[in-house]
Amino acid sequence: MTADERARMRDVLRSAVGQARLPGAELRHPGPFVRPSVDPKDLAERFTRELTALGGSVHEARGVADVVAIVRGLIPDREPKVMVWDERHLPLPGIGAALAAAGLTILTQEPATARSAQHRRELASASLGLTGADAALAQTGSLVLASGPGRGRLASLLPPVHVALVRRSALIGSLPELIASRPELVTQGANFVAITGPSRTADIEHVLARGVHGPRDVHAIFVD
Amino acid sequence: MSVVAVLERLGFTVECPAGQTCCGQPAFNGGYLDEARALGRHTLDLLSATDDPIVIPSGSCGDMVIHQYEAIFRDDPVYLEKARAIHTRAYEFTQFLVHVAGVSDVGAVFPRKVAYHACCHGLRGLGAKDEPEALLAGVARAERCPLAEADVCCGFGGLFSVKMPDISSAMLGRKLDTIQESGAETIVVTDVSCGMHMAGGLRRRGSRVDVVHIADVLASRVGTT
Amino acid sequence: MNVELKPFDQRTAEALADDQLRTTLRTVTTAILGFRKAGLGRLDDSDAWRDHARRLRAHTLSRLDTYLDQFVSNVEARGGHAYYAATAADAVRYVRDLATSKGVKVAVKSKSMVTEEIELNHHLESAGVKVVETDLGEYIVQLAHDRPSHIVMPIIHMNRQQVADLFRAKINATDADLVDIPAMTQLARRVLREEFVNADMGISGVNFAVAETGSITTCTNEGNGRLCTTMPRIHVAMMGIERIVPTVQDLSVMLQVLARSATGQNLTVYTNVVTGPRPRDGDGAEGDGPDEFHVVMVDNGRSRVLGSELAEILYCIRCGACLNTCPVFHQIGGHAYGGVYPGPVGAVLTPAFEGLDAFHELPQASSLCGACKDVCPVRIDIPRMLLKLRADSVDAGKSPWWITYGMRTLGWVGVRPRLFRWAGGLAARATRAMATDGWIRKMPGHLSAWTKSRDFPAMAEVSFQEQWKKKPSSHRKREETRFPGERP
Repeated sequence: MTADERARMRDVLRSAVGQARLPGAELRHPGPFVRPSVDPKDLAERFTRELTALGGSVHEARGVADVVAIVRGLIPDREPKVMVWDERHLPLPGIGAALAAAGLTILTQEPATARSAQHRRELASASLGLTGADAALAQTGSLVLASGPGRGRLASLLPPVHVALVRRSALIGSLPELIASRPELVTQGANFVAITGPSRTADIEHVLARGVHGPRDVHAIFVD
Repeated sequence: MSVVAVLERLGFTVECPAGQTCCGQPAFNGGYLDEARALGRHTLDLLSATDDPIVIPSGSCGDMVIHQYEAIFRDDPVYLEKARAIHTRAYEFTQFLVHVAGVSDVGAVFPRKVAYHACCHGLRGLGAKDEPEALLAGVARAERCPLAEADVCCGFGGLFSVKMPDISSAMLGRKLDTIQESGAETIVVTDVSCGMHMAGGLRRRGSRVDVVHIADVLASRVGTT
Repeated sequence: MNVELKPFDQRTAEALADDQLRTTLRTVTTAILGFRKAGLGRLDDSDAWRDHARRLRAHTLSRLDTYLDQFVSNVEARGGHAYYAATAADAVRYVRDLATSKGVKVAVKSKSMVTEEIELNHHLESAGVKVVETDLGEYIVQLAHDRPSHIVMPIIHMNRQQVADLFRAKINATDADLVDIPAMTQLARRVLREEFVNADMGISGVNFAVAETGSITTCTNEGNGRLCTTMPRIHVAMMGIERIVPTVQDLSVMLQVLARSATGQNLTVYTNVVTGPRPRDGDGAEGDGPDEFHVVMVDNGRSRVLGSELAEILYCIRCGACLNTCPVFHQIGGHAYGGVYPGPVGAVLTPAFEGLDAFHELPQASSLCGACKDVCPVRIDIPRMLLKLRADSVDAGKSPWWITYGMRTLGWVGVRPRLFRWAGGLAARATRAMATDGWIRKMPGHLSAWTKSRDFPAMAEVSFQEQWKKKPSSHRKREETRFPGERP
């Protein structure tokens, strides 16, 4: 906006504010509001309960082999294609090679070709997306993902199955607690998403249907 | 007169200032602020004549006197002051009994199947949620029937009942359905106007269920048998 | 606005005659209210969260000039574009010009009530842009050339058969596609996925903008919000100017109450915060995300409402709880309200935005039961504002003559007690004369509206005042007695 446009906007709004009847309005910002939500020793159990109640699944893996076995079990296609975050953003090294060795084709997302419809259709043909998770919210069973180079948004969005590898240290009670302790997750990147279960709608007759646009299945794998 | 009977039975001396007419709520709800203020001034003058607690046997009049007078006289220092003074000593009937008289059993006997409909202004305007429940629980031989959607509006809404009669009737229809499903013989209310609306509808349906103000229930067979 | 709007009486009559609608409304809203209660109940102290949320809304609006200006600075600092659209026409022009100048042929859209207000789809289509609604309910509404009837459940007024017929007619659905609701959903997914692949522009709404970062947040369950803000090369976020919070921490407070109030969910499936276009340079370059990010801050009457007695309606966070609880809404559904926003919030917003002339019935279509205020996550006093609109209606001469006449009489007689008692006695005698067995089956004149569906009782022979006068004089004793709990 030009300086003039902004000045005009401010004038209109300042004048309105001056005549506004706003019950309960305080001149100073009311300050932050956070409440403890989940007992720290219950974080994993509560996260598992919440995500499972939403139709998601929680697994445990003790290494790359376990992860590959879980992934393979989820997509029984003969030539499965998967979208995977760059290894440096995953909590287990060697995942990429292990998946390729298991017969999966890893689709990579190139910024330059990301625009072509053909490339997007290719990405959309992936059966599964594998990502890490910056945080896991116990109160709601949510996976928190911040975008960045090598950790694209589409891996947790386009394929019908989303698998997130999670460190237990990423568990925290709730979204307000997360933002109070790690606001940079939101403020620094171009995209922050809290994913709370599989994609769903009840628009038609209030009957639940899953996998409308986003994944139909969401899996969290604790890797430690 | 039931209100008077109950209060006197509890040992209170009851005065009823002569000259009371209307608290002005219908005018206020209709958007007629001049008329609402005229009636409000008349009522406030009357009620300001003594310092005694004021008991109001109606949720809607109660809400008007206790809360809305301060709103409509916001720009009138004299009557705003009177309204504030009244606010501190005016009570809806059930709230007076429970919080000022400190009773929930007034010795009432009412041997019928009753269901309680929570009239809106009393419930939400005045927060009279637990008090009618406590008082009804203290009524001997009354068999309480649960009423589905008991806190959903019956559709009276004052002039709304004749300005938007079809919507009002549709809401009433739903309320009457739940009343008939409850198995109650008597519906207890805290506002006679809402009561009239439900009673009229029940009568039109040929129902034998009657509608009674809570004061009448509480006055029933009070004390002696 | 909408020139083909039928008169209010007709809209409500049609709704009241639609038994399927009313049954659906009752079933669904009852369920959702239960979910809401459970959702808020899972918070240790939901009242404290709601109180704080209200404080945030009130404070933010009291400094809206500062916060919006801060927001603009941050949007631009992160490489985005912000535009303040004073009118609907301004907003439309910005988006249309943007689309034309960037060669946009297809735009995918996720839910935005603001875009309904300004009729964005219609204007973009006139400019040759294909606009595809991607929220399942909105997509169906679009296919049907209909309007959403609820803020969060846009096709609550349709059943599955109607949707199936629509899919068969418009998107070549086969029998296999229509066998059940999940199948119909998968069909829509396939059709819309192709649109996402081809789209040049993504248009989203904004649940909350964040002033300190220049971010916008979309809260959806389906994933289309994320797709609209990720796949196309241009993202345009359409935002009502009041939909802003100062900080990301404030955002988390609003999110804690929004979904629980709306559907009872702890959070919507995708809580998506977008800050600027994707970084494209060097090591920070991201693989997906739009190249361009635009926020259109739509005023369209909001600043006028802000500067009025009705400003509190702008606290609204569009959860829909007031609709779900309103017994009037249960009977007449969303379309009868005639505007973009139905239910109690619409009964204030629509006349506030559009004027009372065309919408003066809306504030009257309420029994003032107060249920809306009870469930509002930010405790908006809707009944107070309905009463204000009613007073405005009277001042504007919109009240029926017989009511004005009646009120004037009441106001005149009501300050003359002797006259009042005499008139009351007259009325009582009249009712007894008209009654059979204590009840009147048909009242005269305008009052016959009462007796369409109810009997009217004959008034008592002896009024309270008369009984009081005849009572033995125990009331003349005035003792000083204190009772438990009595305030001195």
